[in-house]
Amino acid sequence: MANERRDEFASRWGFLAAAIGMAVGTGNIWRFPRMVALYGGGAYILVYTLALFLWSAPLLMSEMAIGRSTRLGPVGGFRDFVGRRSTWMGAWMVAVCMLITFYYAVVTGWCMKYTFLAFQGAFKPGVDTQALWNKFLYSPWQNLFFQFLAIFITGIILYKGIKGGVEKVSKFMVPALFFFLIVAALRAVTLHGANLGLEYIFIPEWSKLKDPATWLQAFTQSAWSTGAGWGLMLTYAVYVKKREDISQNCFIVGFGDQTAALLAAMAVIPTIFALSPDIEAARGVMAGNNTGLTFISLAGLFPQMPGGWAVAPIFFLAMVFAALTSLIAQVEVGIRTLMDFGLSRQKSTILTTGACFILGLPSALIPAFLNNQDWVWGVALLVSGFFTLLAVRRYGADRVRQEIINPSADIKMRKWWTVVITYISPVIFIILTGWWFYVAIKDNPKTWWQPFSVATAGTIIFQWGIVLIIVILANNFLAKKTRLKTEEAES
Amino acid sequence: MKLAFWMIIILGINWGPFIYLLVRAMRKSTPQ
Repeated sequence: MANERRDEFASRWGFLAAAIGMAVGTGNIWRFPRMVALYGGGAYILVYTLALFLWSAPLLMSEMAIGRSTRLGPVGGFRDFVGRRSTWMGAWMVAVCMLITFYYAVVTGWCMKYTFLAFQGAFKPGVDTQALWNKFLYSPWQNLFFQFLAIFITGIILYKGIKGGVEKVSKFMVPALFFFLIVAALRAVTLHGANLGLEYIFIPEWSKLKDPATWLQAFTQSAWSTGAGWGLMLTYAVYVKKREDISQNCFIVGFGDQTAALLAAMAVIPTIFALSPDIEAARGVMAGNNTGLTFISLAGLFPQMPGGWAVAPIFFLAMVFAALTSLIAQVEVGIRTLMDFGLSRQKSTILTTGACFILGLPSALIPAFLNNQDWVWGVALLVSGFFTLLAVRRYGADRVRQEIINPSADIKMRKWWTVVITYISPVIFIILTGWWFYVAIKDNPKTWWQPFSVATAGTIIFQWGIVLIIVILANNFLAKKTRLKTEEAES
Repeated sequence: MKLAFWMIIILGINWGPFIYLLVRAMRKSTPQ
């Protein structure tokens, strides 16, 4: 315990770098730009910013309040913050985070592979990037190798602990990530014809505000992108100083995430619009999917760009740093949970990374399985966020604000915070989750119930049901097994 | 002109708070 107590973020900058790295992931680079272009540019960004205040920032603060006050990961955090009978909610949060981690390591591996290709100069004019991507995606050994590499690097960093591993790496990788994004954005906005892309990002298309999809996509993107409800902020908060500022840090993380997303949009959208054969082709790329945009379209456009030989490695390296700093935070959730069971960091790291590799194998080998997992557990994050809201409501939202957040806050949270947590965020949860199910059923009216399809409502209900049954049955065991908050940790 | 106006507004409300809060946080250390 004495060693564990000493293992905390040495500086506020170290914690902020790790937390910003946690929030900024591949979604900022390959999903946010597409959403901006599809849902009204500036209008979408304004709604996205509103979502930070009504969902993401209050949730991040709630998570940080639980982690900082209980000094335990999500399982113990929910037990001590809400009560023994709610331990299963923390276990659900850990389970969802880990189930995402299993396939996210594969995605991190893809980014690594493309960084290697970019450094090798594989993206030459005329290269068939579609064939290149398909060859890689359906090559089991390559996928396995890069999945292993991603987990191995993450494991080494986490084995060294928070101060010696996570903090050191984040203090280098996060500024480097922002620098790479700035370089890529500067190159993109100075391309001939980049103006059209910039107009797609910044000029609001107000009519899109009438489309419910704009609001729902903006709120969902904010929830996924900031890491709100994942349990990541809760886990990192275990290692902060007792009087670390909650509100200011969470707003820095939220706005930092949006800053990175906007930089990525400025790097991606002008490139697509300036270099695609025509506007329809550019729009088609935006309406496609994340991997198509990154590994096929952009990889094919870089060779056409003056200086593209240098931008391609920088862009893909930015993706690796974004993915890796998020993967580190995700794996730490599993490690913290095992450490709360009494295991050492070293043993917990070996067990968690081993599980990530083995349980990530189906996603590494079968692309459809990965797509299924992304569909099922992406939506489940909203449920994890809702559980966090319930935890704060049971503890007393005003109590959390006045007793935990405000005493050490540079920027005090006013009554609006309590109103948002108590009334507005739960309504947002119901609308968002209901919408995802509505779309899933509307798009597959005859087959929506099928539990073994890639993207149906049935597969969500089936897999959520299994995990829910397991965590509820394990409630008492987990509550008992997780260590108590010690006197030393409290001091 | 329209593009420049909206770029300033959108980047201002996103990058502005990030830079301001980050600088403010870095100037103040966390009490033990």
